[in-house]
Amino acid sequence: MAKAGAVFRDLPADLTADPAATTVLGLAGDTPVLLVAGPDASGVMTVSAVTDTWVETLWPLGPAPGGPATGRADLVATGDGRALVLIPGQALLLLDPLAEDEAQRTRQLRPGRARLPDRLFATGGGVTGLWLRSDGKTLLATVNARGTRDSGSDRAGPGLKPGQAVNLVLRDSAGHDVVVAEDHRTGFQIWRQEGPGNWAHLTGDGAARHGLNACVADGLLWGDRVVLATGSTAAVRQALPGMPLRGELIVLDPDGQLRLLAGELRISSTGLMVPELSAAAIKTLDPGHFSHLAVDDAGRLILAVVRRNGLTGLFAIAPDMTLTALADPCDTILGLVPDQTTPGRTEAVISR
Amino acid sequence: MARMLMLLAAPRSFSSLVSTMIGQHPEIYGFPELHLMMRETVGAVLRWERNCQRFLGPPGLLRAIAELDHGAQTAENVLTAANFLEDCADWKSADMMDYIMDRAAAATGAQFCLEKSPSITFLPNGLERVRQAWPDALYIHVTRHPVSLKKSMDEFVEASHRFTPEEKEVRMNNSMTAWPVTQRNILDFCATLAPGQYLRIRGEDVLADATGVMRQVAQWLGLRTDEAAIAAMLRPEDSPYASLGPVNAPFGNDPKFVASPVFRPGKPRLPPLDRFFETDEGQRMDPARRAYLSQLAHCLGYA
Repeated sequence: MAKAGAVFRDLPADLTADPAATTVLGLAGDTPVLLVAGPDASGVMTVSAVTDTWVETLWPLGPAPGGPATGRADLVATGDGRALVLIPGQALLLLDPLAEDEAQRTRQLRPGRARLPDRLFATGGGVTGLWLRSDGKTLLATVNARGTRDSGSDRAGPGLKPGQAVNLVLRDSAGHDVVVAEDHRTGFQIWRQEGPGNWAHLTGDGAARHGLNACVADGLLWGDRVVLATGSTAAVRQALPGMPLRGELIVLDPDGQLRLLAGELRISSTGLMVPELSAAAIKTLDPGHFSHLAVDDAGRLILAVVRRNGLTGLFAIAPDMTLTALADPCDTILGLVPDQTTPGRTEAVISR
Repeated sequence: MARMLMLLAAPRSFSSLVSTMIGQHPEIYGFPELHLMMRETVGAVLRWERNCQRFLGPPGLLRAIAELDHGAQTAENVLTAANFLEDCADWKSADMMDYIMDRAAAATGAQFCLEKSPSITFLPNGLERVRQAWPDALYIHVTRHPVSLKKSMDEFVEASHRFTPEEKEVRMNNSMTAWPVTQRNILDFCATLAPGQYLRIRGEDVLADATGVMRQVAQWLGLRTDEAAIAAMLRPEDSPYASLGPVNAPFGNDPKFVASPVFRPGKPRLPPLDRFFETDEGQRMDPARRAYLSQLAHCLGYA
């Protein structure tokens, strides 16, 4: 099903996917890979390749300790139709959907005796692994397609405080690593690398202005700016029924300044944060929270927005800040992935 | 005509200080607490004030009328103002508000008239009344840490002569109710406003960085942000309503503020919410209410 500027890919009818416990990890070749609870609602998480007609379990994770919504895996495409999938603490897989030999389509990589990374991220066209140490120190390094760490690329990441967990690593247009961490006590934290081992703590003056329970749901590089989608978690929304919680889009400019693309006016230590999107556009979006971001080949920022009334909409923001509705409303969107058949278009993987 | 600027804050949330500071901007006229929009008509306001033992009317409104219509806040002028309000009992409150806003703008050339009546945050109908009367009004939401607010409220109740000891005990044992109720009312109301129509500031940030916050408030309002304008905002004591009024309308602002209106910067220590949960009142809260209070506080940047 295609709507203007977007292609929607449905899930197979026999896949009972709970949107709250289903994550689109990304694409291996043309095949969406999902982290799913079930399909028998047993609570067992699986990494599964999914098309609109079939589901193939690639790796069983077992029950997530905190429930299905807390299961985690990272997928990074390696650029050759294959993808690395990290199941933290368990395995590093190489997915090759086009391999003729079925046994080669999912291979567990065993990169020597080196410890697997704790997280895996796509950065600047490559793959970056993050290792956590018990003292809160972190290590970033490039990971190659064989799953091996390139020790020549080792660099110290930001030190984390107890309770902080990295959920995003990006590389900005100047080649600086940007690290985003969840912190349920003080709000999300953002660091940008300024030099070897030197990290600027961009939220050091208080992420509290965005709410201590706000989290970063997604982030990417849009042109020369890092865009982060922030909002509240399902747990917060459950604790505050009917509360008019609004998601925001925060931008990190090449000069290291945090600005607001969409959200509430805000006082900050660096000056008044005024949203760049027009008031009319923000009103149109009316975001409860932004669930997913993507960039298409036309340079537009694609947003999946869950409204405060629970309905989902898919929108595009052009570089000149023009807002276009691609599908509004639409079914729940589980993820946004590049349309492999039509370059420049974005696919929305939806649930029913 | 000057534009309406409304400060929304729970009682005991630095509202007198912050409102007076913002009101000292050269292009803003800062009123004391007027209590006008709490009720639909002037007569209803007067009846409510009498129930609170303020027999002439809202002290802040009386002082404002005395100041603007009669040139000085004297006891005689307050009596004249009270008679005027009685004569206008059938006026809509919004019309009375327009009247004194016009007087303020004519006297000072103000671009905005700033009003704050914290009790209105308990009344969603009152907030809606403001919005209906001035669709283009701007709003500033001033927040305070819930535990600090409760402490201030308890001290206020303890020192008050209006309540019996039994009433004081009941109020102080349940004073944490005020914070979530008022904040939720304000947030729900502000969610109905257009983007950019309201700004939220933390009272603690005003204390810690008054110059920065005041400059950004002025910037948001499209007003002067030069040094002289901002410096004026740091002198709340210069407001005609920052000192004790005449004997028949002495306050109209927090008595503690009126007793000491000079701004003193500082970085208040914020007590953790967990400390409240260890108290008797906190222990009585069921888990859902505790989660509600915690997450609401977290939304506003308070731990």
